[in-house]
Amino acid sequence: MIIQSILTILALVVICLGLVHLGRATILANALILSGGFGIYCVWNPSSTTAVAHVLGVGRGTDLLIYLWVVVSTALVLLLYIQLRRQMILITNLARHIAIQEARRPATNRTEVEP
Amino acid sequence: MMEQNRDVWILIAAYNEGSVIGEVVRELRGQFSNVAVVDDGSSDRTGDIALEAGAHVIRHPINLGQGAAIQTGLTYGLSRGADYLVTFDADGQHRIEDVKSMFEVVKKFDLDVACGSRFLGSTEAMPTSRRILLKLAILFTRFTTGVKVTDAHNGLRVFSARGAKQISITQNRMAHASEIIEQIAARKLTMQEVPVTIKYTAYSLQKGQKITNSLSIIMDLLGGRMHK
Repeated sequence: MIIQSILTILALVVICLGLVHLGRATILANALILSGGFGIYCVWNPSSTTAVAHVLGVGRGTDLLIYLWVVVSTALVLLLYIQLRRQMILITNLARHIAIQEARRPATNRTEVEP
Repeated sequence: MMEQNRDVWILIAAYNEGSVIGEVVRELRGQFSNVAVVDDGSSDRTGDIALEAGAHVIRHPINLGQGAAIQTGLTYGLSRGADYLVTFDADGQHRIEDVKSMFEVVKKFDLDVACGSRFLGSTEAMPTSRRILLKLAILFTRFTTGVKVTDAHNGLRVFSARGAKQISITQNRMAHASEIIEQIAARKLTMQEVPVTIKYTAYSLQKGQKITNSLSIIMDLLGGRMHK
């Protein structure tokens, strides 16, 4: 019962976070509340995930959740990576723009024609 | 004396190269009136020293990497009306004579770009480990781009304005060398390799690429492909 209680408390914290965000970031809030609720349900009804697992040809519900978790987290890592790269390109363009605007020209160079 | 090669811009990406950049710029300024140093957010006096030596200085407010600095140099040179743009390493490993011979080739054959090749030319004091690493990089670049390069990571390149306009480097760090070759192939730019000599010094070796960097270069290249 100890682990169930700990997990339930954690899931409740997740749900509370979702409730706090409700109205500001709706998608995130809904995802937090739903995953918290799903977590509590799974903790107290472990046989339910096992039933789904059997339908899909997986031995235990726990295994099914592990497989799903691997898939979801891999997808998240890739998405984050792509997002980071996009941001880096934006930052680079911004820095380049500033750098070119603030270019310093040598004092001795008088031969150059202004564009 | 400074009237020479007015249509050419020499572009140098530099990060904390204060100890050598002044000499490199002064030597180039003897032959070329337009030298631009992209100071990639150095913490030393690289920018000030380059300016005193007679270079235009474009300073990234933050350190972005050599690829980003080269692209900034190309963008700046094009904005100043350059007809030819030369990428030149800050550490003094390239020779000005080689720039001239590459420049002649680009003009003569009306090329988009000429790339320096140390393996067609010669090297001074190249360690064996560096040679093996570079050869592996060449195999990798040939395999991924299909371009039969003989030197994948040579910093010395001469672009015509037409060629430079078609290059857009998004690989901020060291993977830009492969990215440039990829774009030359993808955009069907006319390219020729020209033999050059690389002077290996203790300084340039310490600054150069190590085997441990090759993995991160490959990761950057894969990542770049994934999101295009």
